[in-house]
Amino acid sequence: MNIPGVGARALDWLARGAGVCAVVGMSATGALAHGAAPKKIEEKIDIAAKPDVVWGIIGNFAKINTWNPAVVSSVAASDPDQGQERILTLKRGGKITDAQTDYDAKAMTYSYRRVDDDVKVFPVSFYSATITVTPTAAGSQVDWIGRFYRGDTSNEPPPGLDDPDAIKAMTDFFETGLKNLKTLAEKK
Amino acid sequence: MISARSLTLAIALATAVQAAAAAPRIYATSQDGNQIAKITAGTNNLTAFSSLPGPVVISPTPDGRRLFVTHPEHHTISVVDPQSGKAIAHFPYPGMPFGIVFDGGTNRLFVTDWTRNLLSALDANTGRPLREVKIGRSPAHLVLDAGDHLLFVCERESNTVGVYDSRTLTMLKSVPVGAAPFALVYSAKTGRVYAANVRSNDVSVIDAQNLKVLATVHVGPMPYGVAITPDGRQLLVTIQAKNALAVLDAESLKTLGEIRVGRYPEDVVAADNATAYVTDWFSDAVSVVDLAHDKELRRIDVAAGPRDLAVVP
Repeated sequence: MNIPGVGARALDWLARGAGVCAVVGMSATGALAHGAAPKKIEEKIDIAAKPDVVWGIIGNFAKINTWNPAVVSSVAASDPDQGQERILTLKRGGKITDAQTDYDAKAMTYSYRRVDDDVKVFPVSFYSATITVTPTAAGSQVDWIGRFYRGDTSNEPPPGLDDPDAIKAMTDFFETGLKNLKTLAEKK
Repeated sequence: MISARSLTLAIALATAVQAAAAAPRIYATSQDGNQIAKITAGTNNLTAFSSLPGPVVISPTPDGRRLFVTHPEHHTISVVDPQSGKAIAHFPYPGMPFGIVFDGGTNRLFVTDWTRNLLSALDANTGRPLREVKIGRSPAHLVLDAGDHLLFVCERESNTVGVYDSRTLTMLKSVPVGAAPFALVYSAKTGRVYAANVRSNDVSVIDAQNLKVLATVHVGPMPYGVAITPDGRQLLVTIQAKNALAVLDAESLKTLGEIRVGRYPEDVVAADNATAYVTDWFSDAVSVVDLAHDKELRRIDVAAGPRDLAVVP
């Protein structure tokens, strides 16, 4: 995870999560329970390329597969209730569906949320996220933030559907994308 | 001997103290930071006190002397004295307590259990379970229409608002609403219940008398929290995916404005007809919003992960 410019905040949460468990020991009911606290992710990367170059790569909501290697293919779809959607086939296997919730080309930002709930494919419930390109002195900064819950939101999640699994899945997905985005944008 | 001057001063002081005591207080839970923030309306002074871990939903007594708080991850409901900032009791609750509302008339608490799909009535003094019924899936927030003994419960994964008799917990009606209703508010002024549907991006408006859906109004992506101003005129809805607070006419349901707040706004309350408070979950802040001028006045930093709000008028 030594990616220059990518924030290590999600890792902090992993570490903090362990600390919280210890503190939580006050409860007579046991410290195993984590519960459905929503989790934050915030990843940033500095790119030595102009914002419109970076936005040119990521700005097509449906075409995330062209810059994020965690996605093998992505198909645009539309839903009468949710509007613009994308159906992703993941490198790790399986499909997930995102719906766009906001899009502002001028501000170089879009937001989306997960609308399917197959946690076996991707162990995260109800994620939503926003990606934004902002100009910097050296080129651009890309911020990718999100909110999500672990795959099983009860107090007794089975192995693979707990907080650390969700944090890892989200962090891997964001970091893989941002790292490759930097490579692509700086090549142009 | 008391001089006229010091008497005047004493009266002025007493009046000031009274005015301060009369200002509404706003409480915000920080689930990750394990704190409860207390904000005094007007001055916006902040006092934070530590809480049992993972506080989420908060329900005050009408006199503001007690706060009841759910701790879903810790099988616990705590009772907090906001004067001292101390938890004076905590009640074990076997499941995952989420929504909570205090009924002053009967001194009971109503609690939803997110994973066991239960609605519980507890003795507010002891936490002893009095009654428990199976309800719709993943019940979240609930509200009480005390005058009519009605409880309205958001049953998120059933896409319904369940209506229960608060005296017996008997189901009166299951009202189909939009997708994933999470929070709701009851207005005695309009006689309506407004439920925000997170997945279908709309608000279902229910007539509290005949329990029918009067209207469904589109508000924007991921409506999470709802409130009504004390005069019953304005409906406030946080639009989480747009970092905004939507303001609607509570009668006509027309949009009156949309105000930019912090990131991932979650809950909202109205301190008076012109002032709202919003928890900005991602920003770890509470926004103070001027409804008369459609603008955010300031942002107050609070402990990590602010979620639910309550106001004591």
